[in-house]
Amino acid sequence: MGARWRRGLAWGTALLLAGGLYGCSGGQPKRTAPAAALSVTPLNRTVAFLPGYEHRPPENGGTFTMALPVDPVTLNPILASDRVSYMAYKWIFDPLIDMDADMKPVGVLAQSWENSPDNRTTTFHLRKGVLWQDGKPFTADDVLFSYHAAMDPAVDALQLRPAFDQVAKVEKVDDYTVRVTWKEPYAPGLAAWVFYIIPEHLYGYARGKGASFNQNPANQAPVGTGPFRLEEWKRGDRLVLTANDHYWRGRPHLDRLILKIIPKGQTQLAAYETGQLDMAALSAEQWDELRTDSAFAAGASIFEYYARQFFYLGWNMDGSNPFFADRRVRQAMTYALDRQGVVESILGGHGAVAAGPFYPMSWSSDPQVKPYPYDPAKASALLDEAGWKLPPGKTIREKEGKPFSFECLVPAEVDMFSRWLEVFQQELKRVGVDMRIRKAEWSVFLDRTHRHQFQAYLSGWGLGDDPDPYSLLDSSQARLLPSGLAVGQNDCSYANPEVDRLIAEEERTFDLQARQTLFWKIERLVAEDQPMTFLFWPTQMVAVKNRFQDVRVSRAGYGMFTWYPSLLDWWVPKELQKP
Amino acid sequence: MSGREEGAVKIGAEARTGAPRSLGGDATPTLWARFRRSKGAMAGLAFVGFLLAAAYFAPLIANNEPLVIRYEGRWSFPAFRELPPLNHLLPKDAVDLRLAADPDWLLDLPSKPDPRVGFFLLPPVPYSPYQTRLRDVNRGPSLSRRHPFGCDDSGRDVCARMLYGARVSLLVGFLAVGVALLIGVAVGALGGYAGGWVDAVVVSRLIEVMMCFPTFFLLLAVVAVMDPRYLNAWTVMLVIGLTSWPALARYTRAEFLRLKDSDMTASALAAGAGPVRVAFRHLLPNALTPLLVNATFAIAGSILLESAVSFLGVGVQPPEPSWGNILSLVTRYWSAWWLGLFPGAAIFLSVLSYNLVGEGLREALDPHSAG
Amino acid sequence: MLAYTVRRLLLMVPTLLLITVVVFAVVKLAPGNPFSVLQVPGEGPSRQMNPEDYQAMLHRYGLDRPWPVQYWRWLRTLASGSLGESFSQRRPVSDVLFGGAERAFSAGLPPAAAASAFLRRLAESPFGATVQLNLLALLFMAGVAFPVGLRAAARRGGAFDRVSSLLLYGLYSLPNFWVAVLLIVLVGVHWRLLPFIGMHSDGFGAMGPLAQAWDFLRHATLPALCLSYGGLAFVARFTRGTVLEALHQDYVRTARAKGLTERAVLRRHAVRNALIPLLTLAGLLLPSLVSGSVIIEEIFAWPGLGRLFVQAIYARDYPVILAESVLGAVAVLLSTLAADLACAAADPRVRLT
Repeated sequence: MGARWRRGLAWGTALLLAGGLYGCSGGQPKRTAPAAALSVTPLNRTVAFLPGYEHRPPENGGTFTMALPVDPVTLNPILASDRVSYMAYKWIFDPLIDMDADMKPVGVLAQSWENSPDNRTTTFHLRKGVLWQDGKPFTADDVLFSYHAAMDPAVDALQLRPAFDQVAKVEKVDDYTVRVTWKEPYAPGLAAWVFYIIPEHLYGYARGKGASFNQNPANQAPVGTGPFRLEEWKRGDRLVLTANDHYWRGRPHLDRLILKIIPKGQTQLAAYETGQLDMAALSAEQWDELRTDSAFAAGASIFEYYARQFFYLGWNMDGSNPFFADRRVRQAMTYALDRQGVVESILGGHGAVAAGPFYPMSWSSDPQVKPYPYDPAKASALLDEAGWKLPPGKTIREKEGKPFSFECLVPAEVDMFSRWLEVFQQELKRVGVDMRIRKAEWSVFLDRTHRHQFQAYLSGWGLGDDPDPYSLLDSSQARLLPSGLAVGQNDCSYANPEVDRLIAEEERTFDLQARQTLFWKIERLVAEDQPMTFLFWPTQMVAVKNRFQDVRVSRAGYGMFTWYPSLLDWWVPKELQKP
Repeated sequence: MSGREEGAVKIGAEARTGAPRSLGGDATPTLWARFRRSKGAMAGLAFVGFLLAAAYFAPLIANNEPLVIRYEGRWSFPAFRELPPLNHLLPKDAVDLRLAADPDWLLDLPSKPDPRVGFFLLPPVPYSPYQTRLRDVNRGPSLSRRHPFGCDDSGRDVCARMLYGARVSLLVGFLAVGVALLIGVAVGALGGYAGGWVDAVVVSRLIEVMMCFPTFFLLLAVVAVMDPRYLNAWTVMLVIGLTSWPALARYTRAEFLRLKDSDMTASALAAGAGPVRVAFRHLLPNALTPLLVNATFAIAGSILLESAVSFLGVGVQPPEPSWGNILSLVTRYWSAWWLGLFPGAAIFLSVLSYNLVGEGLREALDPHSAG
Repeated sequence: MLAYTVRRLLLMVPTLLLITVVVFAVVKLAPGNPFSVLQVPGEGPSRQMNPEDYQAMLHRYGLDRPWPVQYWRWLRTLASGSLGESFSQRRPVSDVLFGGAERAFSAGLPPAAAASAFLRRLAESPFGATVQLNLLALLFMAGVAFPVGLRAAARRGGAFDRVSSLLLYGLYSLPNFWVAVLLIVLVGVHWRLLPFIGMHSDGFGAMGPLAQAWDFLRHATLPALCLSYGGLAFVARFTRGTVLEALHQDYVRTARAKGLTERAVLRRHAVRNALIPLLTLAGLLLPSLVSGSVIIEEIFAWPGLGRLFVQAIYARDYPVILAESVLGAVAVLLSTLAADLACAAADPRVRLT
């Protein structure tokens, strides 16, 4: 009796399994296209004061707590290459020069500088009387040492070296003067000297012992000339920085800076709401909810600014796929995508459609160059013209028997990218193009794009301090080395000799007006060629507790902190300071 | 503890360590009758059945293509296209009508009349799970718009995604456990039955190595390496199965070890049966049925594991729907309660149901046991 | 028994080696290396890496050799007593995992001070963070599930038995990250009862030991709850099962015949005998003590081993990945051995092979 029932059970389970599998795997439900669109909005305040405090003299004291998503890798500015480490070490060290809120260079450790008439040398006059946090004086030796350490092949300073590509030599003229000689007159060159200086007396090493620099214990206990000194670093938990009373500019008003390691997302916002953080980044959805929360709004200064970053879809033009070498196809792609719709819905209006790789609020961008409108009819027409026609009864275009079906690579970690791509996928379907989305882990993604092993990809591009687009658009930057990696960041293999010529010229042009004309020409050509479909300039929204006064945001896209002096001018009135 | 998310299966299987049980048949009522006695188990079974039905009939409940439509004078049943084997039963061209690319064209018909369209009937939830609608981003549940469960952050209807996601969640359970059973029973039986150095050196060590292997690590690494031409959902299931088999193997091995020395085996061998035949005909059935209990718990665990894995972003990838990846959205949009409630409730109810069925099975199989 | 133990311990070595080989091979299959992950696309012309420089750096760290060679190098480092150096933190792996605790003994302090420094560093390291959290979770689990299971066994089939069973199964069926978010939103944000980020408050260093303990408890409560609620069902059922088994034994019937009350029977015989299998259970749960829960640690920003592990995978920090795998594997192996030994000690009918 028992055996029969056991067998019956076994059969029953098998049937259940079979039925379940059958039903579950039955046919791929088909995907179809989406629907309509909406309208936009722009920007905000750049300075915040509580009413009545604007004309009061600043007071010392107070602690500012902000979040870092992960631990810094190292606090050594020569070795660090990631953004998080930068947000930590920038308070401890000073650069030679920095950018101010309007993207003009301002001297930090260099008091002034000038170019020779032929622009082949730049001489920096260093600030006198600056002390390292251990009391020793800062001199040109430190600058020289920092430069040579960065250029030493035994030192892991890979991210810094390319910036000095055009430097022929750096020499000490006297204790407070450094002269840089360039290989060629190079307009973007000054931006390379936003370069953080480290003390030679702590990091100095004998010739040939560059490897010891990588392991120097001072990397965990840094000494800089900056406005704050490191008091404590609890890995995975927080960094505590205290004000440097002997800072050359005068001590910062804030007493302490605490950087807590809190992963991005809701946790940061929740920490802000419970008072554990003084600043929180807000997503579009979070802002929509919180703008009606009076308790939240009453205690916060809200800022919105463009980040110096745009997103784009890159099309591989190297001929390895039959689609994107043709300009008409690329243009069609851009016409087929409702970028404005995405800005309004998914980005909640917090962003602008991008027309080119130059920051819209800067001199380098031509206001006459507008992004393509959303025009699927025009896209279809262009595709027809390029030979990609829709066979009767089918939904995907074909040319010479090959269907227009391509794969778009995207980093998996950024959910936002995937959401956009899913929308684009639907929109492309409507014009008869099949896009498959392939998510790849970050390092895999970087690897594939740098080896040009893709058909299309979605990514972001962060702008440097100089708008020079050489590594992105110059044809030489698409060349692959024997190792398989590309020389530069021109992953799309864009090659327009006129653009190459214009780039070479703007790099040698120091007159702003003339340089601007060249940039505008480049932008117009790129808009016609559409080597990539420029998607958006997103904005970042940030809430800062309003007990902090004189909080400013850069209109040049530097946001809250990556310009000089930013945080150093913030202050908290005595009566509002927390114990 | 991580034991929960990584070793849900391990826990289920380990629950059976301890004293030997009574073997063989008895005069108590049949298995099914005993099972039926437990109301919880029956409720669980009913829900599982309901789930399977919902998963199978999903294209008829949520679809942007109509159930039936009279187009240019001909009748068609587009929604049935995804329902094997029914789609073969209906006339070929009646089902294969390709309609316009705009998914809302039938919903918009009142305002944009199309003379080619006669009568049509849309499913209760007239949206496809993949259709993104920018104006519906993060919209809450609204019966008037026929979004009973609201929309997700790309404007896709949650009810539709949950119905299609049920397929994935169920598949994950069955497939992962199927794989785990296949490997686990084979390895465990080999070790328990053969004994000696085969067991000590090969099998036990193999089981140990797999148990020590960090599950999530394997998943993350596999996802990084995998060519996504192969459906990601299948990979996840395979990996969950591959990492869950050690617990089942340990259990099987223990059972075989015990049964190997029992009277039953001795008498079978004495009667002249070969050792392999004894293993298949006598030992395996005895070990299998309680193993099914563990398998049921393992299915429950796999569903939970799938949601955990989706939360980490290495599970089923959008736009493919799965309960896990809908639920994981709630960690980003705390106020979108519908993204948490519905998939959460679904996961909760299915896991609970499988657990109850497993408990019922256990009680039914062995009323003297600690059940 | 001794021979068995020794043999098992010896067999652990090849097992561990095999595990590390497989882990290493799998992680090496994934493209990328510790330096490629640091690249940020864009950031202007000054932030790209020169590919030739990059190759040279890879060569310097031996990352361009075939993976068996790299594995061999790691083995050699291990043989010399070091866990290697972390790429993403640029300091010894033992520091990364244990906070440099072992160095407290070589710092020339008197033994009492050295011991306390050792414990303090260990407690604040990722290893300590995870172990403390899991220990608390275990205590929660045992503290709730044990009495529930006991009561359910004592009144088998009764209302408490069935209701508690359903309730606990229900708890098990809830996805843990969902519960975590729910708890954070309700308890942490809405009612502001408990903190939900990290392990310590801001002024932790300045607090007295009692205040520090209280601060830790407050921070650890929510994550420990999330870790433990799922296992309640299992532990309660297990307890109930073993107590019932014990209750069916002959000596219990004898005790009842002698006239002992049910309660005394329970307390004196059943519970005591149920303890041995429960120790087995503890042995089963031991490995999870050391392996941090990736999800819970991520949500609560708990600075433990789980978070470290995931970050190490993304950063391709091979030494840390290998070290954590070894740690986890050793914990599993030791606890399996302990469980098997306890089983054998408890029940002479079970033969050890």
